[in-house]
Amino acid sequence: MAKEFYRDEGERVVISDAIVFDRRGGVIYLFKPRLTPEDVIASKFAAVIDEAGVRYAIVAGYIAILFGRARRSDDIDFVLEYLGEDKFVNLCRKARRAGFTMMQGNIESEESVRDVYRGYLVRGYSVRFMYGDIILPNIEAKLATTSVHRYVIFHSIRVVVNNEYTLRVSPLELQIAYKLYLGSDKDIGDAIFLYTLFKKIISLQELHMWCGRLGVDCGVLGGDNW
Amino acid sequence: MTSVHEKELEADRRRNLEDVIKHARWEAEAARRLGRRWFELRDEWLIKAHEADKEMWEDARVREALVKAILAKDRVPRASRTQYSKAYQTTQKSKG
Repeated sequence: MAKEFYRDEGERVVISDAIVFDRRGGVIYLFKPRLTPEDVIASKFAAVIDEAGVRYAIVAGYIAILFGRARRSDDIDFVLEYLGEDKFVNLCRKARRAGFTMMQGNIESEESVRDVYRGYLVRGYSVRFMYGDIILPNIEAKLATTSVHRYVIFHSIRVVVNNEYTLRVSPLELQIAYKLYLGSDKDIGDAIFLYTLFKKIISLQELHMWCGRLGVDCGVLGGDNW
Repeated sequence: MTSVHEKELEADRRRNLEDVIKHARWEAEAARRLGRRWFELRDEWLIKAHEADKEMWEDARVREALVKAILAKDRVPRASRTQYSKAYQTTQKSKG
C-alpha cells in the first residue's frame, strides 16, 4: 500500500497504519498481517450470504475484535434481512458447500433445514453454523425482527479486509450505544474500545440519538463533547 | 443482606467497572498507536488460544457436551441491562 494512503486527506481518515476510513463510500479498510479463525469464519459465512443474495450485518462482539480488541468470542453474530423458508434452504445449501454444518439440525437434509427454519428462526431464535470441526467461535444467525435490526442492515458499513474480502458491520454509533445498553463489563469495554479507537470518525449527533433512543447515558465514554 | 455488605459489594463493582473502562481505553490507544504490530501480537495470542481449544474438542464427549451447553444457553433470555445501569449510576454518583 502506498505511503500516501496513510495520510488524512480529503475524505480519507487514517486511524492507524492498519485502519483507514473512506468517508465517501463509508468504507473502512483494514490491513492485518494474518487472519484469525474468527476472521476466516466470518469471511466465509459473509461470502455465502452474499452469494445467496441476502442482506446482512455483523453485530456485537466480533466488531470490536475485528478492529483489535484483545478478547475472544464464542460467536460471530449475523443479523439477516427477513427471508422466507425457500431462501433459507438455498442459503443453507450454499453454506454446506462452503463447509458449514448446523448445530440445531442436519444441514445435509432439506427437511431438517426446514424444521430449523420453522422451529428456530421464525420464532425469533438464532441458528448456529459451525465451520468444519470448529465449535467455537460459531456463526449465530438471526432474522431481523426489530426496527433496530433493520436499521443495522440498511445502514451497515463496509469493511474491506486486506483488499481480499468485504464484511458488512453495524454502524459504529449504534453499536456503541447498544453495547452500553447491554451493560455487562465486557459490553461496556467493547463500547469504550470502539469509541476511543474511532473518535475521529464517529458522529456524535448520531451517537447521542441512539443513546437517547436506547435510554443509556453515554457519559461513560468520556468524550470531550459530553 | 445488610446494607454494609451491599455498600461493600457496590464499591467493589464500581472499582471493577472503572478498571474495565481504563483497560479498554488503553487497549484502543495501543491498537491505534501500534497499528499492524498490534494485530500481529493480538492475533498470535488468539490463534494459540484457538489451537488449545481445538485439542479439547477432539474428545467426542467434550464436543457433544459443549454443543448441548451452547444450545441450552440459546434458550435462556439474555441478561438485562440492570447490571450496567446500577453500577454506572453508582460510578456517576461517586464522581459527582
